[in-house]
Amino acid sequence: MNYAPRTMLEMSAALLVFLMAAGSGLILFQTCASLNSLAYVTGQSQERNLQQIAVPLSGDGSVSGAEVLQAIARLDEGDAEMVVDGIRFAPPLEREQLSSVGIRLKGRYQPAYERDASGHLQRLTLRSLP
Amino acid sequence: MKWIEWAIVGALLFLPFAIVNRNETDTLRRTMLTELRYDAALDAAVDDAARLLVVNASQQQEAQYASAKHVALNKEEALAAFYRTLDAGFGTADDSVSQDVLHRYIPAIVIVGYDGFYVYSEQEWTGTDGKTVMKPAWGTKKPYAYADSAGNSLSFTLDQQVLAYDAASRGWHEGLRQDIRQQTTIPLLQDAALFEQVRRSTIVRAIQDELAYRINRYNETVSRNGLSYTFTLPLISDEDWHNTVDDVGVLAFVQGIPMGAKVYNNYALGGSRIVKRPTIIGAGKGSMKVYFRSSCGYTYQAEETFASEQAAARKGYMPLPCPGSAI
Repeated sequence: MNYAPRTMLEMSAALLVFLMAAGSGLILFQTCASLNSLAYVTGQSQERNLQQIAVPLSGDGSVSGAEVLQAIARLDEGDAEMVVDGIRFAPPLEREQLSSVGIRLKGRYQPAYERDASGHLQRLTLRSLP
Repeated sequence: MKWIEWAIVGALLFLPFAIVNRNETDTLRRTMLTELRYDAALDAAVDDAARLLVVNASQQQEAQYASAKHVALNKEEALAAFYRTLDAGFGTADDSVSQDVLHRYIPAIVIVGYDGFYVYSEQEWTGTDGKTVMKPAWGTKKPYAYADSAGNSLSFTLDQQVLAYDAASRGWHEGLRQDIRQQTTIPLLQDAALFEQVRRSTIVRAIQDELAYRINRYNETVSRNGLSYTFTLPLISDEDWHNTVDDVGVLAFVQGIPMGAKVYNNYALGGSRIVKRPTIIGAGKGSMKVYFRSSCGYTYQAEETFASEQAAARKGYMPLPCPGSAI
């Protein structure tokens, strides 16, 4: 065979092999990349905390009147005393007295914590919000 | 160019992509392994805390309650166990500086008690030297309180025990819902299904609201200390929330630990009680294959035992209700 056609055949074969190698390499790369992203997505969906909750974080720390009333009613020995709008409640406590205190069940109360030097809670002061 | 040279050019083109791809895969693999290790450490820490939560220093307090869920909580012991196990799991058991760094990634720890819950989170107070101290500390016990439009107020527990204030009679009633419902006119106590629904949602919402506020406060505090991560209340599945409502336990969050290309976020929930499920027995009743709970008292010859009813049904056994039960 003449030199020119032989070279042409060789070059064509080489080009074909090259294209096949590049194509299969690209397919391999794309497969790996999509598997990677799939693994990331799967990891994220399984990760319980990475998703933001739908309701925005809020709260000013105020508590409802019902919580105040029930917290006083459940005051046990050893619990910190509570002061609600200037009225002091300390265990042991007679629940029947609570009905005349005038805690607004639907109202809101702003708590303030008083702690000793070692961080133990001494007194919880609650002030009703307008 | 010869074909070998074309092949070399092709390989050179492909090489950088392959290296990037391999690095990414490797990072992902390491991240996932680290995550698994951290998950195990957090789960173990919370389980340990929950176990020690009900270990009581006082013998007198242990047996005097009517409900198995009504136990005195040993918060300090539970907290110490949580940090001890967490530090060991994260490999910082002997390094107090690393421990402090690790503890900064825990915005709140919740102890779910029988008639209220406690949150251990960052607080400020004045120390002995007059300077402001910023450290985590326990808050007050928050009751699972509910008020209706008529002015009645209830305080729920993890079971049917309830403390109710009747606005009409201005009196207090405490006891199981079915026992006190006739002493009062509070509508919620008259409807068992509605009571259960409101009880669960009240407990979950009380914990969620307090956590949201505490985590927000923590964000403010840590941003002053140079931590730029924004802590969020994690998305906790309904199933996990219902587990929270079912038993005394511990709920802890670890958020924002840098880990490769992302950050570690997780929560763990540990219950303090081990509940033994009834064994499901598969037996032959004549030519039929039936399954029933071991507590039913049937004397059919057992062929197999199963952990769940589904497993028995999958093997072709038919359900056999207990004598006297509807199910």
